[in-house]
Amino acid sequence: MTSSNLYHNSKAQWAVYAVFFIIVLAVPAVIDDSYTLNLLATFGVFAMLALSVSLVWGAGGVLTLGQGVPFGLAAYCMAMTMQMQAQTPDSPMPPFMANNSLTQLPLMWEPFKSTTTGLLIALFFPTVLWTLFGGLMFAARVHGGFVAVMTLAMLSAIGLLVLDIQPYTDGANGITPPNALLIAGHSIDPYSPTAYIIVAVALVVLAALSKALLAGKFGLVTHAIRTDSERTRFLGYNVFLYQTLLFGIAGFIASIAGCLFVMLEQYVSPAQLDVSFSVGMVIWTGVGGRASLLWAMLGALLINAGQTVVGDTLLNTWLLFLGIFFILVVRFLPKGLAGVAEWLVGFFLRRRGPAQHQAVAPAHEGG
Amino acid sequence: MGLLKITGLSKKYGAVTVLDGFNLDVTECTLRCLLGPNGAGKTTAMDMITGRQRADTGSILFDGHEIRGLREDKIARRGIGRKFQIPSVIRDLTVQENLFLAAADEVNPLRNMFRFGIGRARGRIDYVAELVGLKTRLAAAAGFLSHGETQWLEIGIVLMQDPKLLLMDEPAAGMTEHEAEKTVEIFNMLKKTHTLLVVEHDMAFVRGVADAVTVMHLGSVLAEGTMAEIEKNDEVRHVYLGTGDVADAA
Repeated sequence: MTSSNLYHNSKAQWAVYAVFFIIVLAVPAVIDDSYTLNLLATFGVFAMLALSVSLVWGAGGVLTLGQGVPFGLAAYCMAMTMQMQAQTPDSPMPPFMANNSLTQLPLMWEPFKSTTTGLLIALFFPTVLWTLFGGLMFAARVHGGFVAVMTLAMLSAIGLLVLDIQPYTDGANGITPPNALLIAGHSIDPYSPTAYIIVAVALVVLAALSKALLAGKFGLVTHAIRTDSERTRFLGYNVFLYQTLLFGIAGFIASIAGCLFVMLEQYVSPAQLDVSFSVGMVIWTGVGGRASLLWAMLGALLINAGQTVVGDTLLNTWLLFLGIFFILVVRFLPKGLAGVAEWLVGFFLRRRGPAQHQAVAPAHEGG
Repeated sequence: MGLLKITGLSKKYGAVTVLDGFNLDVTECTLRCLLGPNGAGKTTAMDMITGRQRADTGSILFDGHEIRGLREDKIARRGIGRKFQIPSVIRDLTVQENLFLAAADEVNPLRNMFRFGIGRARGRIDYVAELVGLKTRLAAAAGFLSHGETQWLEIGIVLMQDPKLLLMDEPAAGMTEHEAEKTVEIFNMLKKTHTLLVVEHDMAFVRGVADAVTVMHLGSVLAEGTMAEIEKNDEVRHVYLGTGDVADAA
């Protein structure tokens, strides 16, 4: 969009991102309370999820209600890997399996004996599955609300499946690996600054790459597909490939988030595959501003911080407030908090200097 | 030599026949106009050439190759560009971004992830913007253009693709007389190097640009020839031009 609003200047946007990145990375220097650090790291994981939703929904224009699929599956794979790290030749089987009358380690658990294999599966199995699923949808030119319905159905199906195969997943109890993640002989204490830094670096790198992805020609084509996919086809672009790739990239980000979540929580359960959790990601993104990667992440941080501060006092009433808040945002701030920021920047910085239009066309995506 | 050769193209929607054994042969470096009353099948024919709709039977040879049944983007890559009846530009992108988007020399999404900035498309964008008279409007959002400018931008978008064949669906619709005259100039220049197939209702415009005219009626060809010949054709006057009896036209 052409405007003299600094909000749309790509250099200014990168500067704001840089400030955000520095703050995210500098947190352990300021906060040494391990509980808070772990909590903030978890928020970082949620910000990663909002980032992935923002890519698919904000940039790609298709609403996904199933972002919990790659997240949850990766979380399960990670939990299985960490669980197997605690098993010894004397006790080759996680304890819950015996309670479910299994006598030997099931085949699907075998690959997780190796941490490397387990991590690779955790990162790539959900990504590949999600990309294939997206590919099937986009090849059939499913669009708009139908994508939301199909991703939601997929999420519910996988959530039910995980709950249903109790001997392999411990059903509703979920998997609770007894020890912290061991990597190359180092135990990564979830409450340590190391764990925080791992999450923070992952978030910063993924956010910067996502921003760069949208800043190039790929982003321009994605923008065109979102606005008018038919027109884009007649320009010679294979819309299906672009949509599937973007969907897959978002799936990969959600998979990384899933792995890091379990590293921090040492726990996974069907709650991570619950519909309300995936809808939650959409709310964070929508409140922050789906068209802006940064604001989507901030939305996740703000809402989760809010939930931590007042959620314990309000209990379920919090969800009611969150729902009302979301409705108000959708109705009055369709661009989310990002829209407010855009307006404020435009309002306060407009009159500085002559209203000179930039010679270079400004970035085509929002902040 | 015919760059585009359509034979026996037919399409039915249930009981309604929209195209009925339609034939067309467009010679290279000429501009052919497609005329006909509403519902004659002009836009449907364009939809089939560009792969937007599938024909039931018939053949569409482009540059000697069958393109019927190919996907839209593959047909576009072979060198067929299309301007739509309702100007379809990306309104919240700037003129420059619209043109850069249309510079689809590289369509591979993986390679396009690593392409930043306009780079080697710069020269072509300037050339096309100059040609369609939008050189001074490059930084404007496409949504702020006037109707005529929007039409030119879409013509520019099609030109950015540098297609062998340009399909133009009502390029002069809604233009002022002055704007239409300028479009006539652009088209007369284009047909020296490109082949054009144009659907247009503005007869002054057609007279100004057409090398040959095909008149469609009820999904097939009613008449073919130069504009002068067509205007003398009684059958055409009867179904379309309606210059004779007013009661007849009603």
